[in-house]
Amino acid sequence: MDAASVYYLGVTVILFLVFAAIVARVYSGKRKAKGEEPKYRMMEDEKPHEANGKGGRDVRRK
Amino acid sequence: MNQQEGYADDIVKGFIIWSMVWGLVAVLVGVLISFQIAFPQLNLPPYLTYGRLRPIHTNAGIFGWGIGSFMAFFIYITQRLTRTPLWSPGLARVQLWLFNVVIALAAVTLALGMNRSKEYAELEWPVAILVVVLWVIFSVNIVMTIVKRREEQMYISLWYILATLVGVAVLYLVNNAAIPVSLTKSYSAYAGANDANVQWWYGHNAVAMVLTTPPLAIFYYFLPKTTGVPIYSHRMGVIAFWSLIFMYLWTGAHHLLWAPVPDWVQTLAMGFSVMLIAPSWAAVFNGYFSMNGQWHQMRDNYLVKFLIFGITFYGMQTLQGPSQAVRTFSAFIHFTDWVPGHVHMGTLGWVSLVLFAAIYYTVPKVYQTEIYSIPLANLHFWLALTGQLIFSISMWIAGVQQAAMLNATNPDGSLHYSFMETLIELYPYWHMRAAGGLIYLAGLAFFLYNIFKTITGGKARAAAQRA
Amino acid sequence: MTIEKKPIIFLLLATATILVGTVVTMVLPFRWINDPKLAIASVKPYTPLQLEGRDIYIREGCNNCHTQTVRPLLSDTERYGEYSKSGEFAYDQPFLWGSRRNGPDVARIGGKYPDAWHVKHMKDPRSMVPRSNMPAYKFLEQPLDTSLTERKMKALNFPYTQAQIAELSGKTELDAMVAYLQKLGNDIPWRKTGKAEVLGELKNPFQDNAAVLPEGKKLYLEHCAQCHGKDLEGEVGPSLKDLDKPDAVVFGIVYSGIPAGSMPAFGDSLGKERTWKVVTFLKSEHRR
Repeated sequence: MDAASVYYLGVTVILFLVFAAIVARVYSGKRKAKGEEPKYRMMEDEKPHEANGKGGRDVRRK
Repeated sequence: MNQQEGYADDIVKGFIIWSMVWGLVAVLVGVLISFQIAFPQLNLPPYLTYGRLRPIHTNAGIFGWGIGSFMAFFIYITQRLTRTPLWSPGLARVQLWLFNVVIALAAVTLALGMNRSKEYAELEWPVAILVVVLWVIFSVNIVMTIVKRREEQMYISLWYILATLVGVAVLYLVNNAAIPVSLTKSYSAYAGANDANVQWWYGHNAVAMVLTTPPLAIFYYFLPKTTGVPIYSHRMGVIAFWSLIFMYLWTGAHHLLWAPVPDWVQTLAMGFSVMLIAPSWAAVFNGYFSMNGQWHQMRDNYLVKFLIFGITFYGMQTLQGPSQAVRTFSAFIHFTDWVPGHVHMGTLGWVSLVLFAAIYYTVPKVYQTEIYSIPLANLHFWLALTGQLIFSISMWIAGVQQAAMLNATNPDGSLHYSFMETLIELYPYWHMRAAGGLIYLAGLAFFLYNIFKTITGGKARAAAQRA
Repeated sequence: MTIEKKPIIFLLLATATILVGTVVTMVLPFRWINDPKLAIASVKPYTPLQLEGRDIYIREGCNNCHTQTVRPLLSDTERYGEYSKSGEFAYDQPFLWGSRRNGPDVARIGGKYPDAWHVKHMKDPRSMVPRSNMPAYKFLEQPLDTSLTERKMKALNFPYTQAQIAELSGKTELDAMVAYLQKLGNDIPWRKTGKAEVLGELKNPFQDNAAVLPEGKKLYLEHCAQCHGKDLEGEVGPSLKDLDKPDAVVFGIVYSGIPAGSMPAFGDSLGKERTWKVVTFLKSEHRR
């Protein structure tokens, strides 16, 4: 195997590991509820929340 | 004015209406040039020739109809997903004006022959600068709304929206770099094979950042909204999102297979194009699985029909695209009518069907009324579907036939057909394509009429309530 | 911290994700593409007239129907000529490779036809190529606007002389277009070096075979009459009424062309057999 092939293989392996890490993080059991929460919350968005909410805060939880 | 919900929806109305106007222009010009290809006498030089009209068709379609309605729905969706009114409605009004000025300027300058020649980046530098200003105004407004949001997590549509904002900015700035000679003339800053590589990095990622991520944002929002059932998997959407925006950027050179750019760039493009099937189909499956137990809505709910056929065409598109990106198949069908057939399945099938659904859903909401006629909307659906299928299928057959003829050889190794001999066989297909375009146009007419009646009905109702 | 909740961090991360493929496939190739090693010394920048022609080509959107890359594939090289090299496009700002062949590739059109052929063809394409779907460009006979020519040459760093600029006066846009087309693909001597030898004994397989005359005539009307006249009386090309040459010589001319006399080669499009049929028809007319 020449240097270029080793390089290609290395990049491929690294990319795959990054991908596996993302999948593992997103699909980890303890994140399940949180990861799927937006899809339920988006079903009810008829009105804006009251203006006292702050950016990045989930006013529903407060 | 209809701001009872607290969201800035008047501006959404403006963008929807104007994007429909430009969409009509795009289809009208498209039908005209499809006739010009079959009947060259219909070219009326200097302004109305195929060469000058085709960029008007693509620009009106991609930027007028596409970007125009994406702006409408980004503003609509972002406010709702953040549960926050638009950061600056005033800025959005400026944006609507500027948008229309830019698209009108584009149409006029292109007809006058002021054209940089780079596909989907034809606009001369003063107009291109206005596009940049427009995009900055738009992006700031959307990003600020998201920053100020009153909802903790960002739903997947917002991810695609943010990626679109930054993706388009990067692509447009790099590929439009130019050396101005006068107000109406400039030369590309890059030369030859280099320019080609930059252009198709841009060209293919315009497909990614304009014709894929925005319609996906819209699909992910409106499918649950119309079915009343949440999307199947938000987390699968997340995985697909990162994979999609990572891989797309490597694939530009599949437009340059067999051209004099380095082989390794072509090979990477080929590999990543095939890999893109995975994230693309994740979105397709997400749509299909969301329909579990809901398939009866294909019959009962006209909007679902648009959306599910739309995502199906996206699925077809993202299988056909990668197959075309393979060197051997590209050698066969590249430069033939196969490619316009492919492109129009994406634009007429995928992007437009999803946009139609979004407009049918949104217009009654923002005008606080009901859709004028569901039967008319169904008629529109079937005409759009028929017209698009006639277009694409006739062009695929034409492409394969021409490719086969171009490759036919005599026993002595010489070519069997001259180029013209292959071309004259295409006329019947071009007639079919023009007919398909007319059918699509008829569908569009019903769509515009339906929306017009819905809007006027809604306004009448609002007036009656006030009285 | 999760990025689902931090839009600015999310934006930065998305940008970084987009930039990986961008840098590898678009930025890095700047080092390889247009590499000095790939430069071709004989490839010259455009003259003022050629550049104006190129700008008209861009203005009219010719690239929407005509490509300018010959791929290293039999169906391309046999039809259009030597495959394109990256060094040939070093002065092309923008590149004009195109993406769709509603008409033939023009990367090697230079020198294929005489100027007069192009003029006739641009003004009325169907008079030269029956059933062509190209728009007529008669309006290009208007005077060439030269007000920006010098600024254009300077912007692109192309060398020019005042004499070249002076020569532009009185030229039409059509003149400029033809000058541009005649340069295309002609900077490398591919016509001489790439010329296919016709091997084997040149004997007309249809000698005195009257049965092929109708087809020979049909082929003549399709491919030859535009320049040599419907009745062989000559127009752009010479009259062929008194063609007193051996079959093998006529075959060689039709098959391989006469580059010095701007006679195009028809071997690519006709092949041997049909070329012989045309030769048989021509000779039969001579004997009549």
